[in-house]
Amino acid sequence: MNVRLITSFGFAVLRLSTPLVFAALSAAICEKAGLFNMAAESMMLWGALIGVIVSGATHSALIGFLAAMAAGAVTGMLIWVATVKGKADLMLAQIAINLASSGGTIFLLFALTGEKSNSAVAIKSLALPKINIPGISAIPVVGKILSGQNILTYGAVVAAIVLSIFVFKSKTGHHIRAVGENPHAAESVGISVPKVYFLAWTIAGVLGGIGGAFMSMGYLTSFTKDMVAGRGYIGLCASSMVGGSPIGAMLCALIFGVADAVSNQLQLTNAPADLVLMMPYIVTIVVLVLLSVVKHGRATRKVKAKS
Amino acid sequence: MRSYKTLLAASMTAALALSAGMAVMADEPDFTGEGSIAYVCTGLGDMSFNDSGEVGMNTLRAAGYDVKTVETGDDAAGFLDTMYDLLDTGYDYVIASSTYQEQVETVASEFPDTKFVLFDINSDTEVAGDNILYIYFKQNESSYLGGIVAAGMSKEGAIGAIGGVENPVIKDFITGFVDGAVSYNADIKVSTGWVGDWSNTAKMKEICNTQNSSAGVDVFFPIAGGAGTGAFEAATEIDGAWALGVDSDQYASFIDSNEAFAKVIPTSVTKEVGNTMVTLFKDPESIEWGSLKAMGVAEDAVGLAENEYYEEVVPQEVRDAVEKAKEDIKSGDIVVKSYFDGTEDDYTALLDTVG
Repeated sequence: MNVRLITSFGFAVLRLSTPLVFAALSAAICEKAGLFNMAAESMMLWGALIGVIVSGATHSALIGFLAAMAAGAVTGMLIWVATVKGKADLMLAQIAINLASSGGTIFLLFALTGEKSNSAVAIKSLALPKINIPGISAIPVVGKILSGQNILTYGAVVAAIVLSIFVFKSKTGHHIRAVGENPHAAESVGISVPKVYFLAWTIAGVLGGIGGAFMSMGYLTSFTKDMVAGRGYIGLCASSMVGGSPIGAMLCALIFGVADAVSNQLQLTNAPADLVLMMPYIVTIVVLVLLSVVKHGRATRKVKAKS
Repeated sequence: MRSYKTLLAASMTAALALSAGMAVMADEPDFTGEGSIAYVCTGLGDMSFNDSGEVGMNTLRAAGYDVKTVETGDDAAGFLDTMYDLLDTGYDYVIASSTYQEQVETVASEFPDTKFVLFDINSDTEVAGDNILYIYFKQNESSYLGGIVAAGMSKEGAIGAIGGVENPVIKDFITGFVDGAVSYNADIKVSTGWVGDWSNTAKMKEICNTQNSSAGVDVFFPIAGGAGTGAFEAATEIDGAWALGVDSDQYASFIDSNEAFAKVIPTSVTKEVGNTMVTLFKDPESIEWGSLKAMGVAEDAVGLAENEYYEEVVPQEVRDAVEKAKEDIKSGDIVVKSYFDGTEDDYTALLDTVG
């Protein structure tokens, strides 16, 4: 492998991981509140579409980006309304919203533009900038990997750190974790569980919306049908592996990014395409099993030590 | 509640108005026809295959046919019910792609008075009904021409073909593409890749980037329906890179709205679903039902989009090579390699020669 290959591979890993990190963080905040976020997929899809529409209409990438965040947040709030106010089953509500979003995004796109699969033919949308980091970009190899990424790639790292501080250090973060551990106990000491759920779903929605904005305004420059393509679920997996720790979820997402980049690289060889395309998912299963073996081993040892 | 209903009504009205406004213009037909036709597709707006068919349907509508376009979505579980619903309504003709082959073959014998056209099927398909016409598009021939353009446009001598889902038709595309590229430049390198579905645009872009950084590929040929946009995205970001369109003239689709995309598309490898249907239904009496019809470059059923941008950016010698190849294919002097003529091993061997 020559230097150019290493650089482009490393660069691709960060780029591929970015949407996964946002999806993972979206799942992580929910996990901390004791909620299972299967709907990052929808939040991202709406974020991706609304970002494109609004940036196209306002000619401002920033306003488009903010609108994408809002769209994700609204999706999160909808789940809250359905499950907390409407007492709908959490899993069913999320499955419903995921199915509805796949068709709903296309319906909205069609209603506005007459197009059914791709916004590029109808909307001149804007993309978020790529950032060259002075200083770092001069370092050989590493600089070429770290510098010149989309602004949201750096945003993902910032988001993970901020979310981590919020969850573990702030008072609201403590409340969220308390509800996540035991909602009844938390309620008995005066924490409003519905409020905490509302907050968790909204933050999750915003993070998902940003992930979506990256898809359609950074990674790509247009919205296409079902473009999130399962990245929300990969993020959920990344978060589950580490019990919802934001930093851990980010690192897990990075593992999937590596798997994804490797699978793209393997396409150039004669390896069977089906097998290569399964790579990221095989890695998911293997890592999940390994982690649960390790956790189980630790728990058994603890029990044995006590007895 | 009332305002909500008003909003809903307004948005639906807007949707209808827009869809009417967006309807693809039809050529003025020079013939008339009568009878009812159902055109069954998964969904319009794919900017390639299904839309191409719809253009033809509009021409048939203008000619007097009563044509209904039915969009079924991608869920195969509902296909058979849709067929029965249609046939209970009573149509003279049903036009559907190979996606619906199983369902059409199931219902064809129960509705002997209805005639079925199944297009884009494999060339080795067995005819299973004397009221079905099977149409095989020789996509290997048009891809051969595309391969010449790709090889002629590549500065690095490396080109890439990226398919959606691995299937015989897409492999036939790739076979012709490789054959044509090699005919123009015997030393050409061809990389292949698969997206795994027809919608993951980002994956398509990533594969193109990887082919570029690892193998120097600078001309991409995406054969992946909606995911193809990812290749245009990649080409706009790589200096001097090109991407061919597929099925419809994709330069024409993008030039008004997204010039950056259009400017990386020197030509498109077209599959004229619509034209083919118009040619057929000009004279429905002459259709030989219960047969398989192969349609290629000679029948103008497949080809290259030779628009003004093609004339502008593709060098004269490449265009001459395309013209020559077209003549030779029509006359039979060139027999383009087809995936359907060989075995899987032959296909792998062919890719190995350009790997």
